[in-house]
Amino acid sequence: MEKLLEFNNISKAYPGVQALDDVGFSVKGGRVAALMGENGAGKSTLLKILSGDIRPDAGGISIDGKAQSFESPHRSLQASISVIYQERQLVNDMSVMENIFFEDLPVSGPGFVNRSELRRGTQEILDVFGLPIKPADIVGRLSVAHQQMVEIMKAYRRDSDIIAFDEPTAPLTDKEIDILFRLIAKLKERGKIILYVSHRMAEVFRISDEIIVLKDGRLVNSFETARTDEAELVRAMIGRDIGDTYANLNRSDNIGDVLLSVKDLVAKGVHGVSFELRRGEVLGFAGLIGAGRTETMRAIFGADPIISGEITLEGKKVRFRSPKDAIANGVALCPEDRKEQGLVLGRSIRDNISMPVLSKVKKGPFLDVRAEESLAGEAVRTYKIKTPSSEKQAGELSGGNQQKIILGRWTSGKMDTKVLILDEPTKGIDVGTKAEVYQMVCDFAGLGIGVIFISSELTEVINVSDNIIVMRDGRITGRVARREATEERVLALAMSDYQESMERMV
Amino acid sequence: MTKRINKFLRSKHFSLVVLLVMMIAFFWAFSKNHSYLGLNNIRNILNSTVIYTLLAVGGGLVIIAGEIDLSPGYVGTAAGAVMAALLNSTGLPWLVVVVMCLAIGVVFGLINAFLINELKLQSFIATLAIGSFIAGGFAYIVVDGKTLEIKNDAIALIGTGRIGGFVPYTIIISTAVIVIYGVILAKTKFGRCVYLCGGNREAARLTGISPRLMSYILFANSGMLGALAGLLYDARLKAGNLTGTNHYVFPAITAAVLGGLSLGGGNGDMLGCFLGLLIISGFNNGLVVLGVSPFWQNVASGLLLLLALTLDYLTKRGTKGGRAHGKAAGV
Amino acid sequence: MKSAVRRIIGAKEFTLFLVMAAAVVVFTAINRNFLSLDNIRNIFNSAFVVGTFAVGMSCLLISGELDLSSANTGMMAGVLISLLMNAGVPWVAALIIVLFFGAVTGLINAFFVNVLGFTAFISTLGVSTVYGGLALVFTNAQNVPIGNPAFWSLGSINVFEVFPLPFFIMIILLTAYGIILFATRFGRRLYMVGGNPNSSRLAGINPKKITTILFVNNGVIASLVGSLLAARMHMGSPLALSGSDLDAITAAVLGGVCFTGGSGNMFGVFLGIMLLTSFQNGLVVVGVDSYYRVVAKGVLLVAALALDFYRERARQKQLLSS
Repeated sequence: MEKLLEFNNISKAYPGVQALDDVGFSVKGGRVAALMGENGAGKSTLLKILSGDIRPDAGGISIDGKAQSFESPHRSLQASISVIYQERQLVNDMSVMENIFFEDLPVSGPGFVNRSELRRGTQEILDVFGLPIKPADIVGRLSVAHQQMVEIMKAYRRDSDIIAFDEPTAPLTDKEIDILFRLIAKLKERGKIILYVSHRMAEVFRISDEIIVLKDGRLVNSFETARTDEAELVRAMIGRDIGDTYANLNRSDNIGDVLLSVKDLVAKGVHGVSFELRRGEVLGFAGLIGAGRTETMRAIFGADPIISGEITLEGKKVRFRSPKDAIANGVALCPEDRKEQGLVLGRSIRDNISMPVLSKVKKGPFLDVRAEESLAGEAVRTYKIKTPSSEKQAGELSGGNQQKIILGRWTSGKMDTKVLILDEPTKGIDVGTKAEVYQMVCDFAGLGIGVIFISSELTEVINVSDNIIVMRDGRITGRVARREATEERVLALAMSDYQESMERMV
Repeated sequence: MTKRINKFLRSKHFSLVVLLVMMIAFFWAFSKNHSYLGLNNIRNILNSTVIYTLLAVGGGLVIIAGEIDLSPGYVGTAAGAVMAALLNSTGLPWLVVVVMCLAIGVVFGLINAFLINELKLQSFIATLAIGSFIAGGFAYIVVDGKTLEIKNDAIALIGTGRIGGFVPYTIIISTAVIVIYGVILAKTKFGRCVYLCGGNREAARLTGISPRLMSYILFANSGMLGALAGLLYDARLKAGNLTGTNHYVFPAITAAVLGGLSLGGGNGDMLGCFLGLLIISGFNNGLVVLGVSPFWQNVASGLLLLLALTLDYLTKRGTKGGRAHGKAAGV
Repeated sequence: MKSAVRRIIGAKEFTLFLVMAAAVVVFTAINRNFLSLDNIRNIFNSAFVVGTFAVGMSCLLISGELDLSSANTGMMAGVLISLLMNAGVPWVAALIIVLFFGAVTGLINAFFVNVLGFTAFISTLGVSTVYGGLALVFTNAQNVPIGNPAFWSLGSINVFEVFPLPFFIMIILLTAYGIILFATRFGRRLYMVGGNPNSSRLAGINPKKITTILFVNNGVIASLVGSLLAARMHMGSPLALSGSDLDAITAAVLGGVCFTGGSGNMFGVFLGIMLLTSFQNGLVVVGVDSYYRVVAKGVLLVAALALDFYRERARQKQLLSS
C-alpha cells in the first residue's frame, strides 16, 4: 500500500510571531518533497512538529489517513518518522556504531550489547554508503562531513517510512553529497516519504519531485519540480505584497565620506571580506544563515579573533582586541541572539540600557542612579518601549520591546556611536514593531551614523538599506545599490556558488 | 513610600526577617531567664558570625558573578599558619606580616582564576584542588603539623581585644567588611558589573565589560578575604593551627544561599547575605543556649542548607506561577 | 597493526600508564622496599577505600552528576553496623540493613536532584552534613568497638596471600562495573545521557531514571565501603572516611573521567586509583613528609586536568586542519 503523510492545517504561534499559519499539504510514498522559503518562513518549525519536539497550537499530522498525536519525540520515532536536524545529535565520545544504533542497541542475554551484531549491522550500512569509516571509530574524531553522514546513517538505520532532512548538505563535500543523493533515490524506490529542506536551488531541482514554498508561516504554493523553474520559485518565495511600509520611510539621503573600511578580513568562517561603510549610510548585508555575516561583524567588533586583514576607522588603522576597545572607538553591535547575547534578562530596563556607559553615569565613586534613570526614561519615551517603568525586568518584555532596549542602549545620550552594527534586528518581532525599527535605522543614518544592517529577510534588507552586500560561504558574492536591487537578483547571489558569481561580476 | 513598603514586603529580605524574628522569638521564649537575648549572648552570636561573614562576602561575590570558590577557608588556614610562622621566626613588624599574608590569599585567588579562565577548568574542581590539597597542604607544611603559638601583642589585641571592654574588634572588622562590600556591590560600577557578568556573561562582554578581568579580581578578592578570615581566626586563638578555617566554607556558602544568592549567579545582595549569616549563627547559638548537644548542630546546619534550597525552589516556582498569572490578567 | 599501536599510544590511559611506570621506577630506585610484598599489600589496603568509592562515583560522573555525601554515608554505615551488632543483630542481617540504608540515602539524593532540581553538589553536601552530625549524636563522638571476630575477618582475610579481601572486592566491583559500562545497554546509556542529554531525550531515554539508579547504586557502594572499613578497624568511627569522596573524584578524574559527563572507563579509573595511592604510598616510602603529600596530590590533580585541556585543544586543532 502506498504511504501518505498529511499536514492538516497546522498553526503555531510564538510570542510576537505566527510561525505557522494554517499550513496544509500532503506527500505520497516514493516522492521527495522539497520545502523552500526564506529564513523564518516556518520550515524548521514544521519539522519540529513532525518530530514531536514541539506541539502545534492547531491542526495535526496524519499518516495513512490516521491522525497522530506526538506527546514526545519518542512517539514520533515510534510512528516511523526520522528527522535529521541541522544540529547534530551525536555523542562525541562514543563509536560510530553506537551512535548509529543509539536508541536500540542490539542486546543478547541479560542486557549485554551484542557487539558482533552491532558491528555487522553498522558495516552493512557503511557498505551501502561506501564511506571510509570503521564501525569502531570514535565520532568526535571524524571530520564534520563524516559526522553528518553518521547522523544520516542513524536515520537510515531506523528504516523509517518518513525521513526529513534539514539542510543536510551544508557541512558536506561534493563526494558525500553524491552519496546522499544516490541514497535518497534508493529510498524513494523503496516507497519512503522524503522531506527535504534546502536553500540550494541546484540540489532541489536535482532530487525533488515536488517543491512546497512557505512564506511568513503560510503555504504559498506547491509546484511539480519538472514543471517549474528557478525564476518562478524565487517569485513565490518573495511574494508580492510589499506594503507601503518602505515607501513611507523617512530617510535622509545625505551619505558622507568613508567611515569604516574593511580589507581582506579573514576570521573563523570569514574568507577574505572587503567593504566600505560611509557616514549616514545604511549598508545591508544579505545572505542566508551561515553565510558568514555574523562572524564578519563579530571579528570587526573584537568579539572573535581576526586571523588577518585590515580595518580602517575614520582614516585610522584599527584592530579591536575586545568589544570594550571597539565601543571606546564608537563601534557598537546589537547581537543576533537577544536573549543569549544581548540582554541581562534578570536585570531592569535601566540596568540594561546603562551597561556600556557605566563609567559616564558616576557621581564620585558611586553610580548616579538618577542619571541612569533619565537615560532609561529617554529611551523608553523615544522608542515607545511599552512598560510601566524602567525598573521592570528586561526578561518580562516582548521581543520587540527587548530589541528597542538594545537599540536604546547604543544610541543613548551618553554614547558616541559612529558605527552601529545591527545583526537581524527584526528577528522574532511583530510587523508593527518591525516598521518602527526600520524608521529607527533610517533615523540613525540621518544622524550621520554608519549603520550595518544584517538581515535574512530579503524584502526588508533591500528596501531599508542604501546599498546591499550579499554574502555566501564567508565571501562577498555581490554588491548592489538599492535602486538596482531586485529580490530575484539578491537571492540569486545569496544562493549561487562563488565561482558563478565571480563570473557574473566579471 | 507605600510603593517601597510594598516592594519590601514582597522581597526575599522580608521573608528572611520573618524567619529571623520567629527564630529569635522561639529561642528567647525557651531559653533560661530569656538569656538568648541578653547582651552577652547577642555578642556571642555576632562573634560567631565573624569568620563566616568574611568567607561569605568573598565567596558570595564570586557566586553572584556565576562561579563558585571552595578554597577561601583553606587559604585562610594557610595564611594564618604563615602569619604564625613569620611572627615567630622573623622580626618583621606585625603589619608587614599581615599584608604579606593577605597577599598570599590574593595569589591563591589568582591561581584559581588562572585555572578557570585559561585552562577552562570548572571552578568547582579547580578551587577544590587548590584549596583542600594545595593550600591545605601548604598550611600543614608551614606549621610542620604543630600548633604554633602567636606571641605578638598587637595580633592578640586584634583577636581578643574589645572596644570599651565590650565590643570585640573582630566584630567591628567583619561588620565593616560586609558594609563596605555591600555598598560596593549596590552602588558602584564594579558592583553592577558583578551582577551583569553573573546574569549574562556574553552580553556583558559585548557591552565592553571584561568578564575575565572581573573573574580574576573576584577570585583574588575571595582569596584575600579568606586570608583575612584565617588571620582573625588565629589571632583569636593566639595560635596558628592545622585546620583553622578549613571547615567554615560550606556553612558560609549555605548562609549566602539562604540569604538569597542563587548558585547560577546574577542574584542576591549583602543585606540578604547578612540576614542569612545571622540566621545560621543565631540558630547554632540557640541550640547551645537550649543545651542541645553540639553534635546536633551539624545535623541542624545540614538541614538548614536543604531548607534554604527548598525555600529557593518554592519561591522560584511561586514567582513563575505569579508571573504567568499576571500575564493572563493582562498586567 | 600500525593503527592499533597508534591507537594505544593515543589513548588517555597510555599517558597515565607511563606516568605510573615512571613513578614506580623512581620510587623503587630511591627505596627498594617500594616493590616489596608488604608494601604492595599496603598500597592495596589503602587503595580499597578510594577505589571502591570511585566505582560508584565514576558512574555518576559519566552520567553528568556527582555525590558528595558518599564519604559520610559510608561513615554512617560503619557506625550503624557497629551499633546494630552491639545490639545483638547478626552481622549478615546488619550488613543487609546498612546496605539498605545506603540505598535510601541514594534515593534521597536523587529526589533532591531529579525532583526538586537542586544542584547535586550542594544538596548532596547538605545530606553529608546531616549525616556527619547524626553520627556524632548516635555515638556521642566515641568510636563504637565491634566484638565479632567473624565480622573482623571480612576486613583482614587475604585472598591468594597478596590481596586483602576489601581490595579484592574493589577489583571485582571495578571489573563488574567495567563490564556493565562497556558491554551492557544500560552502561552505554550512561554515556549517552552524560554526553548528549538532548539527543537522549529525543531518543526516548529518560536521564532522570538513569541517574536515580546511579545515586542509589552509589549509596549502596558507599555503605559497603563503610562496613568493610569497620570490619578492618574492628570499630565504627564517626570520623572515618572524611574527604575520601573527594579522593575518589580525584582518582576518577585522573583516570580520564570527564567532569562534565560522557566519557571515561573503569580501566582508566583503576589506573587513576593505583596512580593516586601508589604515588601517596611512594612518597611515604621515600620519606616525604605527610604534609607535602597532600600538596603533591593537588599538584597531581591540577596537572592531570591541565594535561587533559592541552590534549583536547591539540585534538580540536588537528580536526580543524584536516
